[in-house]
Amino acid sequence: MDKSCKQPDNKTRSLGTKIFYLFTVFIIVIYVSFSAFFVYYQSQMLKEHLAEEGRQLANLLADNLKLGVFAENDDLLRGPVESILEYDETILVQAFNNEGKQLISLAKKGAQIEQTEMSELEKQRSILESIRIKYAPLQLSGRESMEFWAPVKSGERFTEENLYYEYTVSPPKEYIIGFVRVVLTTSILKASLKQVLINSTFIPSLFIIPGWFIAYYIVIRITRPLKRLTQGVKAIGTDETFVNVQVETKDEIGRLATAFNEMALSLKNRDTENKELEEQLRQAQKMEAVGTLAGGIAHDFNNIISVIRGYGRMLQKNKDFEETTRNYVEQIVSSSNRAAALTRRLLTFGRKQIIDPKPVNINNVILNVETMLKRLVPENVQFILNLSETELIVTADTTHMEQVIMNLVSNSRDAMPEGGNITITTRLIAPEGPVFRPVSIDRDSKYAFISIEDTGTGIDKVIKEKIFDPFFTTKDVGEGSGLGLSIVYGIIKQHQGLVDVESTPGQGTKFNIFLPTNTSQVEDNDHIASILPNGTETILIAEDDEYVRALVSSVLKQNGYKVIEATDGNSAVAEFLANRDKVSLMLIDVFMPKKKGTAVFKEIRETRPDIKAIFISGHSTSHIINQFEFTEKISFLSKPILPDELLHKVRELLDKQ
Amino acid sequence: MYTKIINTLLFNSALMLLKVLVVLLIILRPSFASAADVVIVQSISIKPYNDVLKGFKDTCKCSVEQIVLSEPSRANLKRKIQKANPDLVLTIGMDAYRKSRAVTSLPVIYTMILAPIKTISNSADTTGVSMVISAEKQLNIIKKVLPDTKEIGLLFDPARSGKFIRRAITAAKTEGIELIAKEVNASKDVPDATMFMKDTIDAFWVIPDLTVITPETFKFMLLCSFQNYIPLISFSDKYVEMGALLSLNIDEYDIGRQAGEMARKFFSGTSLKQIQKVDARNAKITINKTTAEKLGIPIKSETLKNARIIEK
Repeated sequence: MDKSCKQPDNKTRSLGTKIFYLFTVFIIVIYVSFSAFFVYYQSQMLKEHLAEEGRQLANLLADNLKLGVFAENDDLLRGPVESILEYDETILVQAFNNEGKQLISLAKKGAQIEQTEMSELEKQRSILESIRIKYAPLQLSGRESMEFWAPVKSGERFTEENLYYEYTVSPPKEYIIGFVRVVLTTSILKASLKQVLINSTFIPSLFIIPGWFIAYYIVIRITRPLKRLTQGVKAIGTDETFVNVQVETKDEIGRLATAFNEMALSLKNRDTENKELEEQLRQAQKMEAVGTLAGGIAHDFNNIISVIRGYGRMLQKNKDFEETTRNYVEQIVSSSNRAAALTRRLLTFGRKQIIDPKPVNINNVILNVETMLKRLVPENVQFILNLSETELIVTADTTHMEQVIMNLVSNSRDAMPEGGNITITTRLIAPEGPVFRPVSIDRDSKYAFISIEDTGTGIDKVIKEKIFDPFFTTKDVGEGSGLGLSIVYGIIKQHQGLVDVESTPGQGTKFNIFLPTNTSQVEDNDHIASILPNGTETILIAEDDEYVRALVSSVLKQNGYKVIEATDGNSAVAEFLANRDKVSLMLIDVFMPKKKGTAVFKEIRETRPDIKAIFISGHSTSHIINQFEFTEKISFLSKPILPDELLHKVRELLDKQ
Repeated sequence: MYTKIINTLLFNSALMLLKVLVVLLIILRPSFASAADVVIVQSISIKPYNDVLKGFKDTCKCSVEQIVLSEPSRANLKRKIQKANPDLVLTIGMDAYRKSRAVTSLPVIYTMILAPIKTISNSADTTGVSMVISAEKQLNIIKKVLPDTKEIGLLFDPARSGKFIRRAITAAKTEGIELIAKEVNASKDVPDATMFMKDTIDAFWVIPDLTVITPETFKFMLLCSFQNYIPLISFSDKYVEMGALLSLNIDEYDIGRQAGEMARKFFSGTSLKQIQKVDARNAKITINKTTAEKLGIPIKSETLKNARIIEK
């Protein structure tokens, strides 16, 4: 248990502490080594110095005692001996003649003379013999003292030859005439050594302690950037607000801090992007949910509107009503039209509407949404329409085109928080000049050109490249889904058109749309309504909504058709099988209980591949569009159903081969 | 014509024969002994001894052959003397005398011997000049150089210098000086004896006594001289150079001359037995001026003029 507790302590110890500990250990090792060496060196020096002093004293005494020893005269001996004894270390001075007889012996008062195991006489004999043989001084070291012996030498006596004259035939001879002994105490040496030990212990401390503080400061300086880095890493890990680590040096730590800052910035950006994407996804999911909700409402609501509008239209055609009643009917139809428009907008918002391309005048599409667009923009934004005088007929789904215009205008509005101008321009152009960069443009056709231009903040090149990407947005989270321009792009592509953007940062943005023109005439609903086609064929109606079914049945019957009704998918199949040879056309609601309209149609077509059908639905889903190609035998009618439209569609399909 | 040619040839031949004979005589001459009158045996080749030699040669005017004992060929001394076949041997130095006397019975004139010791005095064919300057002469010079001197201390070994001291005491009285002479029988007694007399003397006279003078004793006496302001009078330049005030030296050249004169007498037919042994007749003075100044002893300029001066 204890072990497991201690181990992390060592591991978690900071780098600075480790360096400081290492430095401390290093200093202690150096300090101890130096002190030991210094003390040892000093002790050797002092010992050598004492030995040298002893040798010199002995030699000096031997030289000075020549006459004294020669004459064996106490007066002559005493002076030099006493002078040697005056030295602090000297505790005993003795002189002997050549026979070993002690001539003088003076000891310092109170001095303790070290005794050896050998008797003094034996020792003396041994020493004197050694000196005689070696003819040189002798040194003996004891625990408490050091003693030095030196021979007293005398020159050769004069002969008659050299008594008068100084000359030498051979090297002058010297003879030992006696010995001196000088004993020095080592107590002073030991006291000096003790002082050296104290000095070598305490004096370095005076330097080492400030050195420690300096080292501590240096370590702190070195490790401070690392601590900051650690704090930075922790801040990133704990999602705290990260502040760039200060880069103080250009060394490895400095480079590490720089790299770390770059990494942190990169992580931060990535995190921000992730958050934005999350928010966009959430927004998209919300929009999807709202769209689903709107689509669901619209489905049921369309059924109701279909009935009201259908019967309303039928009442309009009744000439028997008096003026007042006719006005009431008009109000009902008008209101139901408005309700139908509302439903359509809901579907537009939820992007659940089906493509229903028809030849339309783009100018009219723009004019139809003008009021709504003006409501979209605030008062400080001026809305300018610059529409071409010539009609710009294109095959397009009006609802989709309206969505395109609305999305682009909304975008321009958001780019001008301080106000400005939004200009919508349309004109007919031929694909010439640099405007038509895309190669997909057919140079032999003419195109309707629509531009929505603002005087807003503009966009830079990087954003421009991503502007049509799904979920790309420069707006704050919650303000935009990032889908607006991608929907625009998708719709225009669906219509074989092209969308482009020009922008100068600070000056504004211009979206250019090119749609291939159509030479057909725009259908006039009112005109269609006035001439209602009829027939006698048998039509199977598969509709779960009772009122809608009754309306459709009623309209068809009134115009000569025979009607077989089915309330759900299964009954629709059953009815068809029962009347398979009679049924010329099927009106199938896409969403029905028990079996969906598409499944019903698939099943029936297996029996009769030539069967014609019109799908009816309040909204479209992609799988419906993708499942079938709308050929001569299959068509689509969106709710709310107008009687005139229904009759035209039915007749049109029945008449097709 | 032919006669003339034959005569010329004969003359040339005779000349040629003569030349050959001369050459043969030179080459094949017999090894005769060198006819030296005197063989000079010298202990060592030093300047004072060479001065003696020079003085002898200048005076004797005889043929000499020199043998130096300190040189490697000294082992052949006897053969060399025999080979030279001299009438007389001159020795310079004690060693030369002893060795010569040991190998030959020829008449010997000695020089540079400290004192005429018994062996010499008893020998019949021996005479010579000692290194001793007479006490009278020395005291006379001392009195002249140091006129204020009244009491002179002196140490001596009676065995070596007794005779000299006896004469010296008498001579001192003549000069008005009291000579305080103390006997020492061994060198080790010298310091005590010196210390004993240092307070009662005006000068200390060191005579060439081998018992009294050793390297140690002389240093002590010198030290004593300096410590007590007592001038030290010695007998050789060597001691003046060491610090003695004054020395009365023998005149080596003159000793050579004295020996030369003896040789001449010998060659003129006088037996050596009849020629008296003598002391050195001249004395040279050497003064250490530095010591004189340190001891505060004035030296007359006249004295300085005739003396060798050492300043160090």
